[in-house]
This record gives sequence, C-alpha cells and structure tokens, in this order.
Amino acid sequence: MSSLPVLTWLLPGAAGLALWLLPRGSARQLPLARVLASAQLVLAVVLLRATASGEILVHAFGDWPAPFGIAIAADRLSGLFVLLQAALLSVTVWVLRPAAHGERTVRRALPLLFLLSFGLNLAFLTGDLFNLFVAFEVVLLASYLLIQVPGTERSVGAAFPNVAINLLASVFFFVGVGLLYGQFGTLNLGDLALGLQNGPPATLTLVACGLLTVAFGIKAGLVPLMFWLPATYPTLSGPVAALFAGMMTKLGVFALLRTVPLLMADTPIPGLLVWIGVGSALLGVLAALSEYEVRRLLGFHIVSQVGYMVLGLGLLTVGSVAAAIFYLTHHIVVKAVLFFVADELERRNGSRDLRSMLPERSQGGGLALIFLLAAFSLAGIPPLSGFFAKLGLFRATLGLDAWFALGALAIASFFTLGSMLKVWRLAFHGNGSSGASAAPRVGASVGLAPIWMLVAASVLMALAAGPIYEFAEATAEQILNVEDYSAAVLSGRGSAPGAEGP
Amino acid sequence: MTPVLVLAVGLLTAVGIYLLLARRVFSVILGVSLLTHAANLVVLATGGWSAKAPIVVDGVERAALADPVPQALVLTAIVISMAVTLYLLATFSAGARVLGRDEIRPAAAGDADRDPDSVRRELTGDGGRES
Repeated sequence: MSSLPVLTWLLPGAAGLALWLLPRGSARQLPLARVLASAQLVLAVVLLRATASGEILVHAFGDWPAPFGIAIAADRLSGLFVLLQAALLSVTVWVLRPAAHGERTVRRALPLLFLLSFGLNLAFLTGDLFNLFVAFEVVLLASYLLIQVPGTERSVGAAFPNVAINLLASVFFFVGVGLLYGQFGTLNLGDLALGLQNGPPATLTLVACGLLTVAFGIKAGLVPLMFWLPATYPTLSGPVAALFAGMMTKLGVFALLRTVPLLMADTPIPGLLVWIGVGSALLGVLAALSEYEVRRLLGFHIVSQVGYMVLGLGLLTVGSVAAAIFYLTHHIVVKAVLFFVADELERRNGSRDLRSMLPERSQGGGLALIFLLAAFSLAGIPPLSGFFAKLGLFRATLGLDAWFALGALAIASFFTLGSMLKVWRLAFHGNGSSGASAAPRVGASVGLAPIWMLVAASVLMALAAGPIYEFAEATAEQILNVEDYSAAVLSGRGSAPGAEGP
Repeated sequence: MTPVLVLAVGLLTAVGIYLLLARRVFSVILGVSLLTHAANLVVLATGGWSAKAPIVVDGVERAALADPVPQALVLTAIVISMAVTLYLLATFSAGARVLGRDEIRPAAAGDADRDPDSVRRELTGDGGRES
C-alpha cells in the first residue's frame, strides 16, 4: 500500500476548497494559489520518480481486497500525466493576473482550476473504470463552470452546446461501463482485462468498447466528434484556455491509452483508431488553414495533433505507443505556449481576428520569438522537440509498412507549417498596412517569464530527447503489458521491480 | 419484466434524442435528462431485475436477488446528473437573461463583424454583471 498517489490526488481538492473558502476579494488568494500549485508540482515530481522505476504504486481504499474495493494505481503513465498537469497548472496560475484578465475572472477561476486538477489527477491515478467515470464528471463540472467564468454573451452561448455534447459522452461512457460490469461482474481495470482475455470478445463487449471509444473520442476531439472544440476554446479566459488546450483533450487520449491496451486489444477498435487518427490529422489541419481567429485556428490544430497520437496508439506496438507518448508530452507543452501567446496577442491587439492585428502592436518582450519557437516545434522543424516527436511516429509507421499513415502525417505536417506561417505573417510580420496607429492594448501585459519556462522545457525536451524517449518506451511497454498491471492492481499492494511501498 | 424495460429504454432514448436536437435550450435540458434516465435503466438491468431487497437472507435463493453494485452505480449517476441538471437550469436562466433568448445559435466565427467594445470587454474579463 502506498499513500503517495492518494496524497497527490487529494492535495488540489483541498487547495481548491481552501481557495474557495477565502473571503471574497482577499489579497491572499492568488499568492496562496501559486504556493499550492508549486507544492502540487513538487509532489508530482516525487510521484514520477517513484513510478519511473517501473513500480506500480497501488492503494486500496479501506484495505478492501482488490476486485471489491476501489483501487488507486500509479504507473509510469499516471506519473507522467500528473506531472504534466501539475506543471501546466502552475504556469497557468503564475500567468493569471487581475490587471490583465480581470479581477473577477481570476477570483472565480482559481478554485475551479484546482477542482479541475483534482478531477484530472483522479482520472490519471484510478485503477477502477467507474472511478474514471466519476473523475470525468468532476473534470467536466469544473470545466463547464470555467467556460462560464468570463460571464460574457459569447461564453454563455458557447457553454451550452459544449455541456450538451459532453453530457451525451457521459451517457455513452456510463452505459459502456454498465454493460462491461454486466458481463464480467467487476469494475476493476485489472480484473476486467483478465476477464476479457478469456476468449474472443462477445458482441455486447464490442458494443460496450465502442461506446467507451465514442465517449473518449468526444473528449479527445477526434474527427467526426470534434466540432465542439474550436467553438469553445476561443471563449475561455486566456490562461484557462491554455490549460484546457494542454490537458482537456489529453484526458480523452489518456483514457484511450489506458483502456485500449487493457480492454480493447482484441477488438477492431485499434485498427479503427488508426484511420480516425489519419482523418483527424488531415481534416484538423485543413480546417485550421481556413481560420482567421487565432484560438479557433489553434483549436483545429489540437484536433489534428490528437490524430497523430491516436494513430500511434492504434498501431499498438511498443515503438508506436512510445512515439505517441513522446508526441503527447511535447504537444501539451507547446500547445499551451501557443495559447498563452494567443492570449497576449489578442489583448495587445484588442481583437481575436488575425486580419485586424498589427505587428507594431504584437511585437515586444520577445513574444514573437516565443511564438516562432513554439510554432516551429509544432510543425516539426529539426532542432526542436516536435521534430523528435514526429521522427518517432514516422519511424514507427515505417516499421509497420503503414505507408498511408506516413503520407498523411507528412502532408499534415506540411500544412501545419503553412498555417503557422500564416499567423506569423499576419500577426508579427505585417500585412502591408503599416503606418496605422498602434493604439489598442486591452488590459495589462502578462509576465512572459512563466511562458519562457515552458519554452525552455520544450527545448530541453529536444536536447534530452534520448532519455525522454527511453522513458516513453518504458511507459509503452508497461501499458502494453496487461498481466503486470492486472496483477499489481488486483494484489492491492503494488508490484515489483523495486521495494514495496510502506 | 425485460420487455417492459427494453420498451422504456427505447422510448426514453427516442424522445431524448428528439428533444436534444431541438434549438430551444429548455428542450435540450429535458432531452439530456431523459437520455440519462435511459442509461440508468440499462445499467440497472445489467444487475438483474428483482423485486426483493439485495440482502442475503436464509430461504432466499441467490439467483432471485438483484446485484447491488449496478444499483449503487445508478445512484451515483443520479446524483451526478441531478447536479448537472441544476447547473444546466442555472445556465438556462442566466443565458435567457444575458442573451435575451432561449435558443442555441452558433457563435460568431470571428471578430471581424463584431462590436469592438464587446470584444474588448471579453478580452479583459469584464463581461456581464457582478454577482
């Protein structure tokens, strides 16, 4: 039994509650939030170090024996996601400033951000399918409220379709969970995986897995199900949108990474995911090419890049899943940077539309350089992290002779560069109409230091691509090794290699 | 009992989807609630259907009992869906107040043809009223 994962999970919940209970207008709220977010980051680093050895930390609540009690299980994948989430939350909290984003927005958003983080951590750490459903609901409630925080006409209008589609996903998820329980009499992920290995999947199992995949696909923004995503993200308050862009769709990808190897390896779903990935990668980037609103454009890029990851997962080899995990790590960091830049860009120009942006307003403080590094990294230009991410995926597809996938990814990368250059040309380089006054600036500028930290992380990821890739491979091996995970979760006290938890 | 259950699930799903596709916000809320009910019935059915309490007592065969776990799951789901429905109704009334309508319309795709003042208020987080 190990209490470290439980502690990591509960800290943001307690933090959110504390921030919410502070008297309104308290000057201590923001500093306290920054301290708490940093504390969570430290815990997340400790957790990642504990899981990096390959040990699966398991906590069974109330010491109930495994298939009956509820298990919290932390493997390498959980450790990685918790760390990424904690890092992104810290940067978001450091970027949020009352002078820039409105005093009311900051006051309302802070407790909700920690509630979101609480739900995300539970999703990453749970070893129980129904608990995953509950975690999704916690995350969704926090996200619904965060969408409404700006309180503007647009955010209220955008909230509703988003809630409706997510509720539909929840219904699918819930029915899928129920059907799986009906057949196997268990909700423990390890136990379910063992039950599914007993023979070819029955029709009802296929239906249940299909329902789960649709539910996760809606959250991840995969191609036929992604229309809510670019409509919602532009209405969020800037730094919150960066956290959403980094983590929310990746919750869907995480759920797929966790459940596909465990539950769906023998179904046609991985093969389907490859095609969905190809479709997402291409259609997302094509839609992005035609957009002029910065954050809508970036939203369609998320759809495109989630396609890359799902494609890697669908191929289900150690190499391809490792590539997907590396891609995801790179993407979370770089995409958040781009959304932070978009927020600052929009407020410097007083507009969300690229066509009404002026380079005289946009430039300054190194914003252009940050954008250029992140955009080139996203497109996969060699010395940056995106290059290694794409290289890994290309190598994995080559090894499997998946030529169509390779071609689709190459074309999508080309268009990614094209649409990033469009943003560069219109926002930073000038569109020939220079000489106009450089007046609009809405709200104060944010400090760019936390964003530079993320850029540095992205560059470091490129410099340390070797070790990080090895970690991704170890993670992929661990999630594809169903027996070890099942044994660890069912034993209720974690697994070898390494000493057992206290 | 099963045919009745199947019919109920089918009917709830059909009506729920019909309402979900409406443009009026209130219809969508009703549709989502009905769909949730349909899902609850499906999950309840997976645990078997029994009029007896799920308590193991002498003299009652195990096969005659319903599995309590799906009932616990459904209970959790009901609590969650109640919270979400409350949130939706609050959004509905706020939306009717802020937007002055109860219809879902696609958000504008760009800022080009929008009032610069409202864009400015959105960017500074200064929209709506204090509450």
